[in-house]
Amino acid sequence: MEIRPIFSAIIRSKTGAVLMASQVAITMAVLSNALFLLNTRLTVMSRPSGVVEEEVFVLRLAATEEIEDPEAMQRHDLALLRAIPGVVRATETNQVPLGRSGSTTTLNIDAATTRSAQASMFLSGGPLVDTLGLEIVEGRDFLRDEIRRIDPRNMGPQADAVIVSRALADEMFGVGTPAVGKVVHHSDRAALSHLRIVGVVETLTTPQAASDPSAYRTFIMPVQLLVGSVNYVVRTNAHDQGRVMTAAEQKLGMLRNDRVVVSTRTMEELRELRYRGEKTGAGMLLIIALGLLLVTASGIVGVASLWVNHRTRQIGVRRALGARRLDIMRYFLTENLIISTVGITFGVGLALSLNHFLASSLTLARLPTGYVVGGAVILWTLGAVAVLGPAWRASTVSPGIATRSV
Amino acid sequence: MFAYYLGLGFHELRAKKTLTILVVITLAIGVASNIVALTVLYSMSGDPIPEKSDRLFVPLLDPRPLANQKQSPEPPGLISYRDAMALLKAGHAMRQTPLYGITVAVEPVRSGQRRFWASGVAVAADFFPMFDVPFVHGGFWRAEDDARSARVVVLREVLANRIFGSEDPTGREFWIGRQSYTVVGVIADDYKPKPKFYRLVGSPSFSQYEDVFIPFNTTVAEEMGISGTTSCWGDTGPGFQGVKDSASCAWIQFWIELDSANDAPRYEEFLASYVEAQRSFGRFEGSQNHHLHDLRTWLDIRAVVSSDSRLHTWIALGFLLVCLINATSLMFAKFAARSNDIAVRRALGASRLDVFGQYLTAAAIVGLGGGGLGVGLSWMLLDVLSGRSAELETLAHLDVTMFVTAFILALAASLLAGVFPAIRACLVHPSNLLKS
Repeated sequence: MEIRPIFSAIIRSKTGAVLMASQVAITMAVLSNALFLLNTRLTVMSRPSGVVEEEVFVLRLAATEEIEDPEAMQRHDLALLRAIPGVVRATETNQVPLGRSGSTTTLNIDAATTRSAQASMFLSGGPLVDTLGLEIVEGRDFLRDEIRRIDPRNMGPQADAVIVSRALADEMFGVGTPAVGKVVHHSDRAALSHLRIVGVVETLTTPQAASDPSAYRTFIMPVQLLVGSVNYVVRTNAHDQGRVMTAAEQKLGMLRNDRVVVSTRTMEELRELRYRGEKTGAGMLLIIALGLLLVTASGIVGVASLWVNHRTRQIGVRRALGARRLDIMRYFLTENLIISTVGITFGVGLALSLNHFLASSLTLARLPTGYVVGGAVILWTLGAVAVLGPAWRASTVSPGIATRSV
Repeated sequence: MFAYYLGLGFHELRAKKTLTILVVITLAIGVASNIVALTVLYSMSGDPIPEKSDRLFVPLLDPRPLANQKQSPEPPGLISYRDAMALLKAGHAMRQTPLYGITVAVEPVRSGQRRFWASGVAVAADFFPMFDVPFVHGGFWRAEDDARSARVVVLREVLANRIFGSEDPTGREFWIGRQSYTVVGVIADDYKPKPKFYRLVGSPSFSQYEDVFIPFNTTVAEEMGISGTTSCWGDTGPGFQGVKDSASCAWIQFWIELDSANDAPRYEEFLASYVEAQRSFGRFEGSQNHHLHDLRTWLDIRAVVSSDSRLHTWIALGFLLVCLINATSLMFAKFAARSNDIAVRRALGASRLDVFGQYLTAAAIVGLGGGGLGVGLSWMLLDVLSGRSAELETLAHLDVTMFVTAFILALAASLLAGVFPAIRACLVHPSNLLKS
C-alpha cells in the first residue's frame, strides 16, 4: 500500500490533520491521568476491612443522663442481645472499623521511645475478634483472665495483653517478623507500660480508614469500658441480619429511659458512608473519560467526513482506474492510523508532563506505563472505529463520478 | 449589518443541523463539567469572612516533649485548658474565645416529640461579635454570664423552631437532660460559613453546622463531653476532669481578634514570653514551636481545599480543551463546505472583514447556545452532586457568579474555537467561483 500519496493528501489538508492529531494528543494526556486517578479511587474503595461485613452490624447508644451502674447496664444489654435468636456473637467496643470516629494513640517499642508507631486503639471486654470475624494469623485471642473492666470515671485503661494487626507488627518490628511474645507500651499511660503481644490479626482497619497505609495499623486491648455511651457489635448469619437488627434496636431502645439508640448500621452501610466521597469522585472521572472519548470520536468523524466530501472526485477517479471498495476503505483507515499515531506519540509526552505537574503540586502518584499503553490502544481503536463510517461512505462513491464535469 | 450577520449566522447553522447540534452539545458538555468543578473549588476556597480575616488569629502552642515533636513536627491545632485560661486571663487581644464541640440531648417541650441529639459548640460571648454572627431574635450573653457559668444558650433558628415553634423564644427555658437553660438569642439559619473556619479540627469543614451555643465555662462546669479531637501526650487522669486538669491534653480551639493586623507581632511576643514563663514551671520542655496564624494561613494549613477538587478541576480543564479543539474542527468542517457561498459574497464586494465577522457571529451564536445548554447541564449535575453528601450539599450550588461565568466561558470558548475557521473562511478567494 502506497504511503506517500496518503502523506501528500494529509500535507495538503494540514489544518484538519493537525486538529485531529492535537485532539488525540490531549485526549490521550487527560484520559491516561483520569483513568489512573479513577483506578486509584476504586482501589481505595475496595480495600478489605478485615471484618466479615455481610454478617456484622453495629448499634450505637448514647446516654442522655449520667448512668449510675454502667457495668450492670452493659451486662443486661449484652444478655438481651445474645438472647435474640440468630445472634452468633455480640460484644461492646469503643470503636468500629469504618465507623469514622475513634482513638489513635502511640505505641512505643522500648522505654526510651526511640521506636514507636501510631495506631488506632480498640477496647473490648468481649470476643471482638470472633464477633468481627477477624483472622488470627499468629498467636491467639485473649483469655478470660486477661480481660479488665475499667470505669473511666475512676481510672484509665489497664491491660497486660494486646493483639496487634499484621500491618502494625510490620511497622514496629519489620515486615514478616513474628510479633507474639514481644512487649510494647502505650506512650502516655503508666498503667499500660507492659503490653505483651499475644496474637496478630491479618487485617483490621481503623475507624477513619484513611487512604494511606496508616489505615491498617490497629491494636486491640482486652478492656471493657464501663460507660453509658457504647457501641455494640453483633454478628449473625447474613440472612438473619435484617430481622435481628430490628429486634435489637427495638428491645434496647425500650429498655431504659436514660439513653437513646443513636444509630443501627450494618458494616456494609458503614462502608458505603465512608467511601461515598471516593465514589462520587470516581463517577465524575468516569463521566469525563467517556465524554472525552465521545468528543474525540465525533471530531474524527467530522473531519473525516469533510475529507471524504472534498475528495469525492479523486475517489471516483481511483475507482474508475480499478481500485476496489476495500482499497478505498483501507486508504482512509491508514490515513487515520497515521494521524492517530502522530497524535498518540505527542500524547504520551503530554500525559507524562501532565502527570508530573499533577504529582508535584497535588497528591497524584506517578503514572504507571500500563495507563499510557492502555490509553494508546484505546485511542487507536477509537480512531479506527470512528473513521469506519466515513470510510465506508467513501467506498460507496461511484466510479461514474470521474466522468462527470460538474 | 450586525443584524444581517445574525440572520446569515442562523441560516448557516440551520443549514447543517447535525453538525451545529454536535458543536453546541460538545461545548455544553465541556462548559458544564468545568462549571461543576469550578463551583465546588470556588465554594471551597473562598474567604469565609473577608471583612476581617486579616484580624482573626489562631494562637498555637506546643508543650509536647521533644520525642513527640520529632515524630510529628506540626504543633497540635488545639491547646490545653490551662493554656486557654491563661491566654484568656492575660487578655492581650481585642476579643478572644476558647471553643470546643459538644453534643447535647435536647428535651422536647411539646408533647409527641422525642428526645434528640443536637450538635453544638462551647464558646465565650466574644465568639458572636468576633465572627459577625447574625441574630434573628435576641443577642448573645454578657461577659458576666461567662464569668458565673450561667445556664444560658443561643440556638440556631431551625432548632428553635423545632422546639418552640415560630415565636420568639428569648427568655424561655431550653432543657438539656435534667438542666434548664435560658434562651438569650437565636441565630440565623443561613449562618453557614464556607468553610466552618472556627472549628476546622475534629469537625467537617462544610457540614454539621452547630445548633446550640453555650458559654464555655458553663459546659466545663457541667463536664459536657468533648465532641471532636482530644490529643494527649502525657499521663492523664480519668474522665473529663482528667483531661481538663492535664497540662498535656489539647482539646480547645482558641481564637483572637486583634485591632489591626499590625498588632500580630506584639501578640506573638506575648506568646513567646508566656512560653518562657511556663518553662520555669517545667512545661514546654521541647523546642520553641508556638505560632500565630491568621485565618487564611490557618485555612491553608488545614488544607481546607481538598487536593481532590483541584485535581478534578485540572482534568475538567483538559476536557474543555479537547472540546474546544473539537468545536474548532467541527466548525471548520461546517464553514469549509460553504466555500462557494463565500466566494460569491466576496465576488459581490464583501470584504475579508465582512466574511470574518459573519462567521465569527455564527460561532458566537453557537457559543450562546452552548452556554445556555451548559448552564442547564451544570445545574442538573450540581443538583445530583448535592445529594451525595452533606459537604457537597453546602458546596454544590450554582450562584450568580458561576451562572455568569458559565455563559462567558461558553462564549469565549466558542469564539476561540471559531476564530481559526472564520479566518480560513475569509481567506477564500473569489476566483474559486470560476472553477467548476
